[in-house]
Amino acid sequence: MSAEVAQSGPAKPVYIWSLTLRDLILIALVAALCILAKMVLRIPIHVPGHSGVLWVALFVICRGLVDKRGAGILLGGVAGVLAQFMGFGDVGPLEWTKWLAAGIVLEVLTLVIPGDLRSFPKAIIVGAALHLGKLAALTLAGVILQVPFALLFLGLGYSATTHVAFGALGGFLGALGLRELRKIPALDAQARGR
Amino acid sequence: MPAAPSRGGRTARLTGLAAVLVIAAVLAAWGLQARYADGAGSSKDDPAPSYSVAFRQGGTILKSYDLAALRALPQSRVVIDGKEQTGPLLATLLEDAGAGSYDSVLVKGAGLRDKGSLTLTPDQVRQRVQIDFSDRGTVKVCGPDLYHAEWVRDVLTIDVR
Repeated sequence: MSAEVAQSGPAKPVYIWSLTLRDLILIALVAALCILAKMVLRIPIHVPGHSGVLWVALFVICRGLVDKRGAGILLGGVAGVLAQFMGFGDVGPLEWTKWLAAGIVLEVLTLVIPGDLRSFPKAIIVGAALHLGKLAALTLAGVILQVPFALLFLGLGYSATTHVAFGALGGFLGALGLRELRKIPALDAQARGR
Repeated sequence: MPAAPSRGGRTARLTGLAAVLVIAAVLAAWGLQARYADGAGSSKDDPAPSYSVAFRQGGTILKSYDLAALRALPQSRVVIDGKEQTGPLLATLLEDAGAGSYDSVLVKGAGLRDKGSLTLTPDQVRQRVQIDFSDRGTVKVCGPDLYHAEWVRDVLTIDVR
């Protein structure tokens, strides 16, 4: 009887220390794809944050497929390390903080808002917030590096608005992608931790 | 006794709260932008400078260029990786600032989006190194013969040595 009650109770949260090799490979692959997408796909529309559409979608998809607590932070950390040390050379010293901040915001909001990331409202908000988190980290890095405020805050409002818009779009595309991917039995099982 | 909130209601409330926080952050960003734009919003004793590029030689500022002053100089156009870069050549800028002979030119930027500095020899300066106006309202130093990783964004000072 007691065993039955225990089994039918709320699911026990699963943390990143129970990540499988498949989870780790998926996180590493998605992190590498995010960096490549940002580096290679340059769309000449001259609007700040437009590259976020792709990598935010990938972040949402990855967190949806690896539904374990802390996976978002790990994803942000791996992406940050890759962005900082991949050898492209044209990044600032605190580049990694942007990706880590995005991962932290992704993780916190995924845990705080109930439901999974296939929900469009949740994915849109998470996408917008994590993209904004990345911009906030960049601004904070500027404060740490003592960049003059007049330069640091130049165009910040416009930039924040476009980051939210592209992040929301990325979140929407991520939810859409996640819905399609979870129709594949193997990936659905992966997302459910089986 | 009030009924416990449904899961759907809680989700909607938390999603709404997150949306409000995102909007508040965007409004705060607009507020910061307005506060520090063109030196406004800071104290009268210590006004925040508007964006300009300082041209220095031997530690002395020869000339400061704001965006309007840079746009007033003869402009050069070059297409790099499919994107048009428009602005004065660095050589034009050196001439306008009255820099005499020099061994090297050190370009320094904010260092937020790149390494933040670039040292150029006189030969390199002559090879179509130029200024480009960015969408953010700052300038960068770039050129078809420079690696993308060498470009300096948000340029703050140009030192002639």
